[in-house]
Amino acid sequence: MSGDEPARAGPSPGRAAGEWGRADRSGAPPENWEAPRERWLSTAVRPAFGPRSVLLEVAARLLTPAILVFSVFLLVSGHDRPGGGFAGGLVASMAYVLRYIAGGRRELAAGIPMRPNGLLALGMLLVCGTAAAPLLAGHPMLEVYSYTAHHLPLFGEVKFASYLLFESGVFLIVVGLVLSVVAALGARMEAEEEEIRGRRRSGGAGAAKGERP
Amino acid sequence: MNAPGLVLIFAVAVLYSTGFYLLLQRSLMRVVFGIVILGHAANLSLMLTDHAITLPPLLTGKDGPISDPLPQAMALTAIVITFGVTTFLLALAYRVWLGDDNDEVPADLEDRRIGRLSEPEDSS
Amino acid sequence: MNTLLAVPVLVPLLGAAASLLMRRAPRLQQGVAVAALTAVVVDTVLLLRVTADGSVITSQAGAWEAPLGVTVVADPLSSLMLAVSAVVLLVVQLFAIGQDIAGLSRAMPQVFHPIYLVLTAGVCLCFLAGDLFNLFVGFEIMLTASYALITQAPTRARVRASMIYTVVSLTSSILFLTGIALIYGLTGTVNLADIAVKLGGAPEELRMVLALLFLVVFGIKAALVPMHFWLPDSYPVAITRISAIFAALLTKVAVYAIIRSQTLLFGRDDISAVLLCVAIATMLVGIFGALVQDDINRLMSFALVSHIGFMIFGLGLNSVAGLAAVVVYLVHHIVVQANLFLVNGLIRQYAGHSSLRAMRGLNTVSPVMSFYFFIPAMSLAGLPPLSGFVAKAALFQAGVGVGGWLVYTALAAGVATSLLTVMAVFRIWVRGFWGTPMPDMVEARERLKRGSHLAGLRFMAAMTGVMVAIGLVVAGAAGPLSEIAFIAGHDLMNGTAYIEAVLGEGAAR
Repeated sequence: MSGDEPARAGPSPGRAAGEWGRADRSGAPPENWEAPRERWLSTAVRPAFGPRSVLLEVAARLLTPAILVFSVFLLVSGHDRPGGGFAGGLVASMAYVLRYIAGGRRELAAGIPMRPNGLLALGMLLVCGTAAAPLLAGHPMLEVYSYTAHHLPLFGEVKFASYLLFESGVFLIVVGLVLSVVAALGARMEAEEEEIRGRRRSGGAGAAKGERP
Repeated sequence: MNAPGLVLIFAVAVLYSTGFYLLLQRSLMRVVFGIVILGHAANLSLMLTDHAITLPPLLTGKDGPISDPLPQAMALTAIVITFGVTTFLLALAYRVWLGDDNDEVPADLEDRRIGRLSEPEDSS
Repeated sequence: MNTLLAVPVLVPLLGAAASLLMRRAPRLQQGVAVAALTAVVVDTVLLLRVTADGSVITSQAGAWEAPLGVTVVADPLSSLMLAVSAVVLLVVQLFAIGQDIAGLSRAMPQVFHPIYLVLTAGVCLCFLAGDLFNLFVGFEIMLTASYALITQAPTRARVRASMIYTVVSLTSSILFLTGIALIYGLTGTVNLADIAVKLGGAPEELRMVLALLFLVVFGIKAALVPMHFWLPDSYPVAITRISAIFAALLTKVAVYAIIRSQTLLFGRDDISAVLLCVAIATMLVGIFGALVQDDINRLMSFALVSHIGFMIFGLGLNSVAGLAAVVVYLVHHIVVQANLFLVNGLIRQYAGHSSLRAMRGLNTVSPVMSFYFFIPAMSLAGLPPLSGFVAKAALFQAGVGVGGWLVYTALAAGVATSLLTVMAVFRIWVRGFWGTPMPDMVEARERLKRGSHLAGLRFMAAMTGVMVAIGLVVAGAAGPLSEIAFIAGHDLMNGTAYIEAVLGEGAAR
């Protein structure tokens, strides 16, 4: 079983001994021979589905920053080209979903900058605030103000629009929504199922099935 | 030439009938699938309202005829809404399954009461 | 103008976002939620003052002109509905806060307040929407919030009930979307005023089909017979505050949508016979269902179904007086229904359940509560001088004014329904309120009096009392109310004021 542990001890997490060792004793092949020995993700990796996979972990590690940058690109280019807050938010949340699939729910919790509810609330504040701001000047809601800078160094012509704030709010809402869906449908279910499995195991064979609460 | 083909119209019909058929099933998973398929049907029929559906979409910097962007915007909104509610339904179905170990819709309360009325007296 | 029209939607959403951030500080969260709803109440009352003379005000979001952009419209009907709904929402919210202070609820307040505010925004958007798609979005905001609210304090029964509720509402939403697609395909617009102009030239059969489709769409949400089956299964299962607000508002929003779509969009006499038949069926099926129930909440839910029939009856009359009566009825029914469900919540605190079989002597247990029940119950039954009498008298008068055998049949059904409502209400009264109290109820009263619940419970009772008072005010202000209602009915029958306010002078031809 020790071959299954990461070669280098230290901060790298392993699993509690014996927790995953059951497969060996039952005669099945060791479940994790392909598991990475290096630490690629930030927490004790315990993937949501199936065994650890080096490919997935490395891919998640390498792709996450690229996906996030791409999502910001979609966000800012969305004013008059394909993209926008919704698409950008979906792409950004995919980065977190990838991390969740590779690393399990603790990895997801470690990767989120703030609680999904907080993201939702911030996004909604931004969206409604941007929608309401023109009212202060006596204009109808949702009016867009824009300013075009013609000669910025390096960037050339850039258009700034209040629309971008609105879209950022949408971006945050989408990320918050997807993350809370993943948290509720993936991570919490996983935890609950683990708990139920644990209860069934500890209940032993004597526990009748009809005794479920 | 630019009008949506008859195939699409048939597709909408098939989607609606499949969706409603699944909606009437007892198993909650099938009901959820029914809702998803009905959502697709409604979105597709929104797209079909555009008579020039085969033209390129609205993009700045291009001249020439374009397809109507409004049905696309409405369909996008509707997709978002159906997506959100479907995840909620899935979570609910999971809860039901967790509580009862099955995902069947039970008989209505009144139906059961009426059913009990018709049972013979001595059986109770 | 712009601000008046934007506040009812934007302020609750901002409040929801802010209260979501404050889940650690429940007092602050309650404060923000109450402040947001108070702002909506003030705003809608101002809106009602502006539009009470029949003027229609509009705001074009993003300054895009009417047929293209998103239009927000307030006419006398919508601002009256907005004002009444906002007041009821505020009172129910205060009731809920009282219940949380008393610690008598298992709902999670930190989740309840944000979702409740989102529900408020959805309801307001429905009343203000000037185009069909925005109406759809408003409905979806409202319904999505309601899906989450109905599962508050989840039990197995609640999860089951909310499953039915969600699936049925979603089905009607999808049909709504189909209807929007058909209308857009036919007219090339989703702006209500623009549709009204362009549908005038459409073939009559097509218009009829669309009118029926939208009647089904909103009929499911308004629980018209034969699409009512989901309501008595889902509403009574939810916790008090939520069943109160659902019963008071959600079905009424759908009735509002029926009124708006059938009067503005479609030829007004196309389906009035259908409406009258549906009204008769709804009144009778609902009230007969109510008569055999043992559970107070279920009984009230069936009574709710039957009284939706009265509103459809008024719409089916297809006259100014009929529509005016419907407006009065809507206001009366929102207040009374919320009131009755709140009282049921109080009863549940004493009895621990709401089944009439194991209930006796509530009169002795809490005389104040029986007073709070008696007034709205009599109002629901339509006894003078309460608001129900005013509304029903206006409705029957309008019916006699129109005449015809179908109308007289509906009138007879209406009178019968009123009498049967009296019977249903007296059943609750006789079985639940009379007699020597059950020992466990007396025990519950002593426990509630001694425990730390008392302040919160008093607050809950006070809010129920406020709702009773609002009901009495509605009866007392019957004069001005029916004045506004007549203006609203006139506007609805005519339609040109609405169309010209949105599209500009001369657009209605």
